[in-house]
Amino acid sequence: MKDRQGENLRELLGRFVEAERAREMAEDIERGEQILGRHPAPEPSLDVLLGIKAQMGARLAYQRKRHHFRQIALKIATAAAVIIFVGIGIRSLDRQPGNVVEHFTAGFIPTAIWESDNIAADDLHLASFAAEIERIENEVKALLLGESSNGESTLDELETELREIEGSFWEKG
Amino acid sequence: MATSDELARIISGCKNDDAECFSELVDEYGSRCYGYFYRLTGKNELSEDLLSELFVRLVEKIGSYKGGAFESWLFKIASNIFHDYLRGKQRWKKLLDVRRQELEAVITESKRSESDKIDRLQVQLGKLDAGTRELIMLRFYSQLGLREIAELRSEPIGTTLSKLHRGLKRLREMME
Repeated sequence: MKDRQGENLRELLGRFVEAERAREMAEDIERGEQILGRHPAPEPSLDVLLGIKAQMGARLAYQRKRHHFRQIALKIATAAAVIIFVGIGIRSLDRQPGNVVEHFTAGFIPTAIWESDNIAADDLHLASFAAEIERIENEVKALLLGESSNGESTLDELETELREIEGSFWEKG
Repeated sequence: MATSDELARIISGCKNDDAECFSELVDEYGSRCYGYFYRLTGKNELSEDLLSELFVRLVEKIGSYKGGAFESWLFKIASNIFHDYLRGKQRWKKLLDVRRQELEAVITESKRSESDKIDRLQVQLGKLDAGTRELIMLRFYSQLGLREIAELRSEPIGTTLSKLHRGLKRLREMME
């Protein structure tokens, strides 16, 4: 006879004990379970079940929010990673010889010029600096094209020169 | 009782965070799980708490259900919740209270009417050791096969069969 789980209890027991003993044990189990069937446990009240459903709903809503927050955090982290990666990339590109001029050009124009109201005086300064930048730019390009035999040290000299010009500008300002 | 197709639909819905499907799951398993907890604790209020904990945990864990017998998975969680409850220091005290009440019930047993059979079974169940009682309840309420129960309890099937037989035979002797 198969029980409610679809298992043949006697056959299963028969693997461990003799057939007669298996039959007795199966009967004991079946009769014991019949007692349980005759004495059902109380049912949970409808209010309890409704309360549980409400709790599950609240938990679901919380999980959805948490999932949404995680997605936003992931997007922010991804964007931050991209910005950092690009920043590192730009910095490493700046360190390459070809970008020396642009780097110094950017830092070369002092903030005093942007903040100054004296346009005429600033224009004069800017014109002289623009000419100076152009000259240095040409020298750098010439160096990069291999027109100098001692490229590294000459670049250092140029850098020093640019710093001096920047310093002198501040003195003028 | 839901067919396997219906159950598959409900579980699929639950995995997609469908509150209605979770509600159906409560309708399907609420009574059986409550019975399981009630027969192990003998307390209505406590059984309600454990049932609530089970279903809330179900919401959290449904994503980890990878198929197989759903009852096995569900009752494994139920069993873990019951053991967590037993492990709680404060809860041990409550369990002792339950035992005390059970003993009091034994004293007054002779005064009970025929309609109090539910309590009588609870008293007799209380006389079995905790492991055997849990096995019997797991078998009765989960409706799992013995192989699945043995697997769930991480013990050989022969051991499960032997414990179940001894427990149910003793229960019958006490009840008759």
